[in-house]
Parts: sequence; structure tokens; C-alpha cells
Amino acid sequence: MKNNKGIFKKPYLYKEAFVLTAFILLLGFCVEIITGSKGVVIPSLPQNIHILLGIIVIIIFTRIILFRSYFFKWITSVPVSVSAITGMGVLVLIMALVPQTESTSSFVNVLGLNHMSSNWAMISIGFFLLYNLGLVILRRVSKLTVKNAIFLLNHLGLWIIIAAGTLGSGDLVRLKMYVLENETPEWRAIDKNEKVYELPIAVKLIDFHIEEFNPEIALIDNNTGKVVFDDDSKVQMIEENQEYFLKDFKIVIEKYYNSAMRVEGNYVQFHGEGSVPAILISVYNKSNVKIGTEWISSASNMMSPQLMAITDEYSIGLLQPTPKEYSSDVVLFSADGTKTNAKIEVNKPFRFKGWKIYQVSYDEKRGKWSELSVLELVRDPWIGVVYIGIFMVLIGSVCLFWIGKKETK
Amino acid sequence: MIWEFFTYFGLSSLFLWTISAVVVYIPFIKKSRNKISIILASLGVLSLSVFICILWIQLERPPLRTLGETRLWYSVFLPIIGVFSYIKWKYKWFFSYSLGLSVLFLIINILHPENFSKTLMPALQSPWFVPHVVVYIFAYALLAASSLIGLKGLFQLYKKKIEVQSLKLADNLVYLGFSFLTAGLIFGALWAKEAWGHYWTWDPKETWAFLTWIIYLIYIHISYNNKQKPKTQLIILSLAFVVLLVCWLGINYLPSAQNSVHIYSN
Repeated sequence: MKNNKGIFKKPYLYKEAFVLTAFILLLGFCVEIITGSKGVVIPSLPQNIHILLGIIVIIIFTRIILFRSYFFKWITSVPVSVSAITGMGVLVLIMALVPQTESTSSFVNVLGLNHMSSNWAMISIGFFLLYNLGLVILRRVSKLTVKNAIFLLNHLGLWIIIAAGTLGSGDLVRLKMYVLENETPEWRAIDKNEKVYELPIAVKLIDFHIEEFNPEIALIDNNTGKVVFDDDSKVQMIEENQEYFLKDFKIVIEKYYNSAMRVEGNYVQFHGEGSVPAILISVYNKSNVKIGTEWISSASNMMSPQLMAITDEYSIGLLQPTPKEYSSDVVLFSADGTKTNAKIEVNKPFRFKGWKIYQVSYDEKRGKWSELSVLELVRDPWIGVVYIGIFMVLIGSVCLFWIGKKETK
Repeated sequence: MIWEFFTYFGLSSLFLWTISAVVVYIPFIKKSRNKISIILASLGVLSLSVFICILWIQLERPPLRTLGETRLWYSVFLPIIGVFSYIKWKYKWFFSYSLGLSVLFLIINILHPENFSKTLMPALQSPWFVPHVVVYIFAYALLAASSLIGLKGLFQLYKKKIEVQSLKLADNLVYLGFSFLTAGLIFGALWAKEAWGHYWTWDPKETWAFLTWIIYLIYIHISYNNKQKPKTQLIILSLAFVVLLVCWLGINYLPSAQNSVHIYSN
């Protein structure tokens, strides 16, 4: 009977809901095409607050005026919610499958499929989701029961995250700052389009500090130059006074210099730019006969690596040590005369005058000796609101775990 | 050498789980077979958990960085889910299935021994690392279990005899799995804000994680008032699993995702 119902005949169920969503998506793509597929730029304060208030007004208006209409019953029904979520899912799927970079396909470019996060279709479905979700919340919030409270936490929390996250991005500023040790304080930073900004705060880098893991010893394939990863040949970290086994070979460390320089075939301890970790190894074959004793080292920006060939097929090499931690000791200045010392480390950003400063990277070619520190400065005034939404959804999901799906018989 | 230990722990868990999965079906010890299988399965969990602890201490970092390391955790969580579900709902096939899946992951790890390097990049040295990854592993284990019930349900539907109980079990597992999935997604966002400056950057893994979240959200809403046909629910559940697999594994092979911070390191 449902199959012969035709379309837009009551009761409105999934067919009608998906038609509505398809229309919303189509509308969004049309606007995208008409505006030359340049994408949407979310406005900053105060326009984004005006938009937010506008959305809230439209939702409340619908609730008050249209409460008893069939439209209200339908627009807050499960099929419409499912279709709205599916609509968003379709756009996210496009984002997952189409590379979000420059494209040579005119189909992709005209529809803006390579910048889905700023595509008008995303805005269109976003508004529709907020509208549907907002009305669903208002419809459900009648009595204060435990079940309704959990519903509210999850749904209102999500509403806040979507609204604040999207509209708040208009006020989000993320800038990269390149600072060199012992130079005058830097107050300029660049955005992702390499536009230069002058900031009301300045950063002076006192010291960039990096600690590396010990180097790792590995077997190298002579033909491909690549590391051999086999069941009997593993990459192993050098620790003092240990034997290492790679395939049938036993490697004994005779000397280990954390920081050395190659001088006429030999290695001397040297603590300066261009230095490398170097080890003097004795290699024994499976009959415990010594094949040789030689130095091996990794590479630096001033020296090539040193390997030890042990057979026609294999050599033993020392891999580049990887960073363990890195941080910047800085002095921060602000336009109002405030001055603060800070240590900015990966995973430990520093807050200063409404900015959050992150340790991002450094001059990797110079490694340990980098005098350059790359910092990221972020301003995100709406983050507090987003956190409220996140907190609500987190509690809501814990409650969901606790209560599960109760039988409603 | 930590990988030499692994064979002992791995094989003992493997034997314990295989025997447990079989014992639960043996007809002539009906009175005690439940207890025996549960004890055997729990001993298997204990054995592998001890190995993970030793590994954590030896590596001086949480063993959650590579695909092989996370497989160990799956092998621990799946039997736990199997034991609890068996105690609560008494499904023998599900119990054996979760043990079987664990054994499969263990066999993969035994055949492809890990490198277990001590290195861990600075961005991963965060108190969020363990909660984010562990919660996700638990979510995936629960959702994979529910989706496979979905596949079994489709098979039953084809044979024209659907078990309503199966659907209820799938639903319950989805609710549980989804709450962990949501928590995992949120932990990732909170961590990203501390490590990388923003909580959401549409990284390929984030995009697919969001897609996985969306499709399970669709399933929850479609099955909300149980008015849907079982067939629709089961198809969506199976489709959701495909998305989950792409998010978990497919990412590492997609060319567009090679620059993601989420690629398992070698």
C-alpha cells in the first residue's frame, strides 16, 4: 500500500523527506555554481552573531506559529531527521572521495567539490540540520524527565557544536610565525595564504631546544638502499653495552659517540653543527667469526651517512635519530607593555592575551642545531561555546552507555 | 627481546580461546561448560594483557602506535565483549565468533611480528593518546560485533527466518559502540586543540571517522521506534561496517590520505 501511495500524499514519510533533502542540496549546489564556485566565507563578529540569532528566531517562530500544523509534525519527524543527516553524510562522502585540492576536472571545479567544507551545499544542509534539530529539541522539551534530559544533552549539545563551530570559524585566526634565536622580537605572522599580519603581540626566541631518541641500527639492502624489515631483522634502538642481532649476524658495540664528526675515515667526539651519532661495531657471522670492525654513522646536513657492507646483499646502517621532544624558550611582549617568559612545547601550548601559541616545527634540515622555531598563533573566541556543546554531548553519550536502549513496550 | 616473548603469550592465549570457543558446544558437560569456557576465555585475556603491560614498560611508551600494536588490544577487548554478552544474552555463536576474531588477529600478529620501536613522535606524547585510541578500539570492536550480527541477520532473512532477538542484540551493541565512538571522536577533537591548534581540520581520517559516526547515527534513528523493516535496518548496519573498515584500514591505502597525521607509523 505504501508503494502505491505516490508522492506528497499524507502521511509524509521517507520518500517525502528525501525529496526535501535532495531539494536543499540542489539549492546549495545551484548557489555554488551561480556564485562562481568561490566558496563561502563565514563572516566574523558581529555578522555571524546576527546570523545565529536569525536562525534561532526562525526556529522559535516556526514553533510558535506553526506548532499545530502538519508541516511542524512532519519537519520534526524521524524520516526528516534521517534524511537531513544522510544529506550531510553525502556531502562528507564527497569530501572523503574527491581530493580537496586543485583539480583539473571542470565538473569538480564548477560544483566546488574540491572545497566541500566551504561549499554552499554544506551551508544549505547545515542550516536545514540546525532548523530540524532545533525544532526537534523544542518539540521534545515538554517534561523534565531523565530520558528527556539525556535527549537534550545529546541533541542540544550537538546543535551548539554545529552552530558555534560553523559560525565561530568566521572569527578563527590561525597564523604561523617563524622566529630565529636571539633576534629582535617578531610581531608578524602569516596565514595559510601567506598573507602577512601584524599582531598586537611579539615573540622573542631565546632558545630552541630539541632532544632526540637514540639512533636505531638496521640492515640495509644494497640494491634498493632501503631498510630491511624482516622477522629476523628488526630496527633496534642503540643503548650502551648491548649486542644486536640482524639476521645471522651478531653486532657488538665497541664505541658509541652520541655526537661525532668524521675526520679522515675516523670519528672524533664533536659537539657542533653537522655532528652525527656514530658507533664503532664489530660484526660476527653465524659461526662467530669476526667479519670486521668499522664505524657507522647517520647523516647530517654536512655529512653523508656511513654504512658497513657485510655481504653482497646487505649493509649495516644507522638511522637518523627521531625527535623525542622539542620546545621554545620565549619572551612574549604585548602592546600594553606586558612581558612574560614562556616555554612552548608540543602538546603544551601557551596562552597569552587571547592568543594560544603552539610549537609546530623547526628547521628539520639542521635538526638538533635548528635556530629556527615555527610557532602557530591561534585566536578562537567561540571555543568556549563549542566546549559547552562538546561537554554536553560527552555526558550524553556516557548516559547512553549507561542506559542503553530501553524496551518501550 | 620483547618479540620473543610474544610467541609464548600469543600462543597460550590462542590455545585458551580456541578451546574455550569449542567447549561451549560440548554436549556431555552441559552443567559446567559455561563456567569452563568463560574461565578459559578470561585466562586468555589475562595472558595477553600481561604481555601488553610488559610491552608498555619495556617500550617506555604506550603500545598503541602501529597497526600491529593496536591489533593486540583488539584481541584483548573482543573476548571481553564476548564473555559479557554471553553472560547477559547467552548467544553461543556470538561468544565463539568474538573469540574466533581474536584468534584471527593473534595469528596475524604471530605471522607478522612487530618491530616494536621505542620511538614515539612528540605529538603523540600526550595524556590524550591512550584514552583516544583505546576508546576507539573498544568502539570498533563493539560496532564490528554488531554489524556482523547484522550480516548474520541478513543471511537469516534470506532463509526466511529472522530472529528478533538477534536484532535486539545488534541494537544494544550499536548503542554501546556508538557512545564509545562519540567519546573517541570528542577526545580526538579535544586533543587536536591542544596539539595542533584546532579541533577539526577535515584530515582524511577525521572525515572518514565523521562518516562512520554519521552512518551509525542514521542506523540509530532508523531503528529508533522499531517501525522499520528488519531488512532496511540490517542493510544499513552492514553498510556502516564497510564505512568503519574504510576508516580503520582503508585510509592507509588511499592515495589522497597519505599526508594524514593518522597513518600508522612503521
